[in-house]
Amino acid sequence: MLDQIVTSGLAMGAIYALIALGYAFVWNTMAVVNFAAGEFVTFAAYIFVATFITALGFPFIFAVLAAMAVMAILGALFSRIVFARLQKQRPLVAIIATVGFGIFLKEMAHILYGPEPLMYPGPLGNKLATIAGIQVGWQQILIVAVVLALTVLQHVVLQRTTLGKVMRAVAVDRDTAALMGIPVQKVLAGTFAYSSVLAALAGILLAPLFFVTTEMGTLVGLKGFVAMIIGGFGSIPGAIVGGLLLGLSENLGAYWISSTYKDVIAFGLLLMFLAVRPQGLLPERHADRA
Amino acid sequence: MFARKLLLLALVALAALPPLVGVNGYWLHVLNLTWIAAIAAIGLNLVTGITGQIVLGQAALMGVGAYACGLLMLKGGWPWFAALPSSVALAVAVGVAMGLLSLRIKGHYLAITTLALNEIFRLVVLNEEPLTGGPMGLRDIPTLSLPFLGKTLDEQAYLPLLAVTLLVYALAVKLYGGRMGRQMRAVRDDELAAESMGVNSPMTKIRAFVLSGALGALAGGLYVLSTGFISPNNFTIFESIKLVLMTVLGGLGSIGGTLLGAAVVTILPEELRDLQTVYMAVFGLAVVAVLLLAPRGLGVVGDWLLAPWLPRTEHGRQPGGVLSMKQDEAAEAGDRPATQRPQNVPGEDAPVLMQVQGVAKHFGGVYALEAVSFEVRQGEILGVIGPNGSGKSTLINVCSGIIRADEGRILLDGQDISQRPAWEIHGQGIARIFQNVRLWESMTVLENVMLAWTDGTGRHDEAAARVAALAALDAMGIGFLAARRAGDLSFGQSRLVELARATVTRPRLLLLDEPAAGLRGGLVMELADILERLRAQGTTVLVVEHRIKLVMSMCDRVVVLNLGEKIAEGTPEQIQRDPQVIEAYLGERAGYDVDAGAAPQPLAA
Repeated sequence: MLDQIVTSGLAMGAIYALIALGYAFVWNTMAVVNFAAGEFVTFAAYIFVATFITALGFPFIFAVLAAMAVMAILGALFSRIVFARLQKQRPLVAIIATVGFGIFLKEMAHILYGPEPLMYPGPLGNKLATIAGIQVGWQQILIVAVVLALTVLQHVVLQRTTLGKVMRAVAVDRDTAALMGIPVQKVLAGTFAYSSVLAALAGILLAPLFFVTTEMGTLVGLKGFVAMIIGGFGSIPGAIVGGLLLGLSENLGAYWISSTYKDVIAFGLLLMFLAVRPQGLLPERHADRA
Repeated sequence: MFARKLLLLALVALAALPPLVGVNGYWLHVLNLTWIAAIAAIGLNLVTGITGQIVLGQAALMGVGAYACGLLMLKGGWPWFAALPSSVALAVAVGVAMGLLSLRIKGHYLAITTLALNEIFRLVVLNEEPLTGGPMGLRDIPTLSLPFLGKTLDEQAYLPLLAVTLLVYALAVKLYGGRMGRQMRAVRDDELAAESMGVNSPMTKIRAFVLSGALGALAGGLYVLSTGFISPNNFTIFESIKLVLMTVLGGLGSIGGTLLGAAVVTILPEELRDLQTVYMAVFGLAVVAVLLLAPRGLGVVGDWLLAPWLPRTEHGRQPGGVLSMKQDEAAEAGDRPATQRPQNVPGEDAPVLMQVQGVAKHFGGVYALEAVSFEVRQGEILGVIGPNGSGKSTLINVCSGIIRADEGRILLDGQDISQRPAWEIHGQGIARIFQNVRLWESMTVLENVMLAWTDGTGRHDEAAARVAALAALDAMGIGFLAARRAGDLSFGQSRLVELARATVTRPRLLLLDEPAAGLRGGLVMELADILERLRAQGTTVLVVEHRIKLVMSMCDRVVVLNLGEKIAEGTPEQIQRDPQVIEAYLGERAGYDVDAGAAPQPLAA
């Protein structure tokens, strides 16, 4: 029993990590926290399941790519139209504006796809694999594998390629980067598009585990933010560690303490960290101060 | 203004009409919900819009009030007039706790934490069924019973709810323009400047949270009394977001606008029932649009209506120039030969006002200050100079209590002030200006200066504050700017306002951090005159400056810092001859070749 709780906790944690990574990238380059991230997850899940799988009948892998592409374009557009304008604003304004935008996305999903929850079994269904005597759902293995692969790929891109260096330069000092001829606005839009792709992945991977509803992303998005705070505000490795830790503690807490208060555990952990270690596990130098 | 008062009176009378002319029960109910939402929303606007502390969980405070009130009446059998105040008192306690929380947790962290607390509240209410009724909520709670006001509950509740709403808004307007409102807005606009100018910012925040909690609970309790039924669904995160929506549409920080925002968010969905699915999407988008394109939102209308009771603000072109000093003063300043040294320079035997004893401060491994000691004598103008990064600004920050020294003491009149918070140090008679002007930009110039005023007894006298502030502005020659928004001023004007703000209390010691930075020539010259006038009033001045000529002409004595250490102290003449100072700062031989051989630093990864 316990081993399954651990594995499913890690899988959920990997989802939180994906979303936390999105927060971290956007925070590092734009200094805005996107409180609409959860709604990006919801919206991506709807596009994937309702439009590409059900309505258009795409094969799984094409549907995944198509949903990611749509979310990337959506992210880049919104970055240019809305988020670019929020950087100059007080955090108060930026936070409320992104919350407002989240409402818009959630309600758009409602308008476009209706109020009925969607069921999507996914290509893997409920099949279980047995690894070293532990029964693990294939979907959970997929989730963890995707996040691991993404982490490695992202590390290589950030550290080894020109694109990565450009992104890091913009993150460290935007004005200097602009003076050095880096197209800062494009990099910002690209970063936001990438964070939207991460949200899309989270939505696609979550769809078989949850019903697809307009509410599915809201709490997941907030917990992704909690994961980033636990890991260290804006820290890339922190986002992954924080996500996994959060998913694990949530499941273990639900098992040991109380399953009805499962959602309270994540926020309890947040309050505990803010009281004891507000800078997070792997703090970043340019972090927002608690 | 008189016409506007009449208009407002007419609007209030109009608001009282519906139950008297027999508006149908459904619309009375919607209006009742509007008044309740307006009370909760103004609480939220006090803490978020006016004090700048982001709260995304106001609905939970409504829930605290509603459940406390409902349970006391239902299970405790209390009458409403005991249950309602008790539930508000409980929310005050919650407000204090949240205020204390906000001292540790700011910005994004506070936003997510308040959201989290809202969700925790909902889950607790949902799951503790024996007490709260769980998902079914509490039913058949005794409601208001005022038969003389009408037959239905909504008819009976309408006028009391309207009266409470108007009272709450009247109090909010009063608070906004008063001292506490100024303190709140100062904390929002620039907390650091607020603390250095005597605002106890932790206490201000706690007050704001208490007010928002009390008003939230009042709204929740009134909801119970006028409906008799509550469930966890009334107090979700979504309801909190709707309250945020009201304050944003009404313009963050606008009191009149909040009421209009509450009306729009509550009434419009009912009016547009056929568009149920669309309206929330439109609202979401409207929030973004209002914030980015018209940040004052409906506050434009609300503030216009309430203008007679709000701080007077002028817009448009300014009359007069930057330096419309009074004629005789200008002449007097011009008559005095520029080279003449002032007569009232204190001698070596003058009493010591402030002692800096072995002060050290490091940031990480960098020593900004190390074992710095010197004395400031009563009535002198002491200059502190040094190259960039020599610790001058850190010194000012330590003296004004913005930064706490790691080692050493600072004595004012023999009393150690180095562990005191900034606002107490201001109360002790030390005022300051900042290197890059820090005014509270959304407030008027007069309010900026009034807020810094104190008579030293801790009592507040609004009229005396106004007189003192106007006098301080006149002394800087900028009395004509009193009703301007501070954010609309030019840099030179802002600097003079900041000087007026720092001198309105007639401080014993004035700390100036590069006062001439960014000023044009004429104003720089005037600065020396201003300092002399301040000295004549009995103010001692410690001025950090970069421009050596200015220091030499203004100051009686000079302290020289280099790399965080004091390397010289004496009269300007002595300093100019000091070989160490010449090498470190005045610079005959530049040390370019020293660093040339060093390997370039590798870029940080």
